[in-house]
Amino acid sequence: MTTIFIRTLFIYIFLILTMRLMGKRQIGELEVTDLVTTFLLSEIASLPITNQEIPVSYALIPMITLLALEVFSSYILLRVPLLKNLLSARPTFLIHRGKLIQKALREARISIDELMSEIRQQNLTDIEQVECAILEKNGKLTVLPKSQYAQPTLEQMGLTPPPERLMHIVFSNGIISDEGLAWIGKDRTWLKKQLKARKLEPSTLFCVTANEDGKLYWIFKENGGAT
Amino acid sequence: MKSLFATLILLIVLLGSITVNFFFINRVADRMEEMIDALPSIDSDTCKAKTQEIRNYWEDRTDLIGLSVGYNIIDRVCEQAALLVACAEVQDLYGYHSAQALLRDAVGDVRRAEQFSVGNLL
Repeated sequence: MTTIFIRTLFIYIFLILTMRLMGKRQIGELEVTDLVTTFLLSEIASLPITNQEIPVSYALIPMITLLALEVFSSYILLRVPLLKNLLSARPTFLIHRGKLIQKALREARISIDELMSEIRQQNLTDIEQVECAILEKNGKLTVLPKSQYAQPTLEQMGLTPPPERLMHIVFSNGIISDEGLAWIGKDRTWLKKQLKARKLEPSTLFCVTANEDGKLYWIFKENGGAT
Repeated sequence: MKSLFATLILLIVLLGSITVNFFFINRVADRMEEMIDALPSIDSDTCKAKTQEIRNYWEDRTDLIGLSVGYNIIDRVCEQAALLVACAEVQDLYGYHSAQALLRDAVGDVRRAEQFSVGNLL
């Protein structure tokens, strides 16, 4: 148990350092610590499942250790920015005000072809059309066009769209959702009154949704409620 | 915050289990080594009983030891303990000494699984 615990700590730290040195391109959607934990967990969990010679503790100990490392590291990193800068990558400008930053491009090991491909995907044709291109800490490239090449917003066009209200499921599979009702600021009594007012039988309903203004939408069962 | 406390409790339980297990494994290994070292010569009247005592002592603890030690190591100790008893029964001097040495070595493997050393960790 002791050996497994310390080995897990050792491998975790070593993997974080390796991933950190590899740079942002390897990371994808996750933070370095998240990625390392995901790598290790998927491997460790399968060990005692496939190999009966191994006690379950050989997976449980590393899993709890990784869980603790992940939770504590995210807690500490949130409070110690210096440590966060060391362990997590920082966003890097690759283009700033239409000017390519070659040093940053070299350090991020991104070729000009790759950068141009990303720019084209934003419907832009030239570096000069880009206000800034930022390599985010998760390895994704954000390309912001100069204002003259950007799509105009409704606000810029002087249009005021109606506010968008989220729909919440308040009833489905014969069960009233208290959580959904709470989101629209209503309760069960209100929903039951609405059903009664419309002379609707709950058994005939597939689901009921409501928006934050309290407007209800009914979807009836295809077979008319027969089971 | 809830997940932080839940994780902290899990970690404390884990560290507690590791500590208890560390002392348990070492105590079992110590006792096994003591019993192996104290084995009488094969022609002694108590030889068979003493070998059986070692086997029983080990087998009574295999379930708990199996929580942290690989089954291949446990099986090795079981085999050698059984061989030791068999050799004592048939008065096989060569087999008796051989099983005694191999059993001691297997018990060393059990201890090594919980040993805190650089060699073990790397």
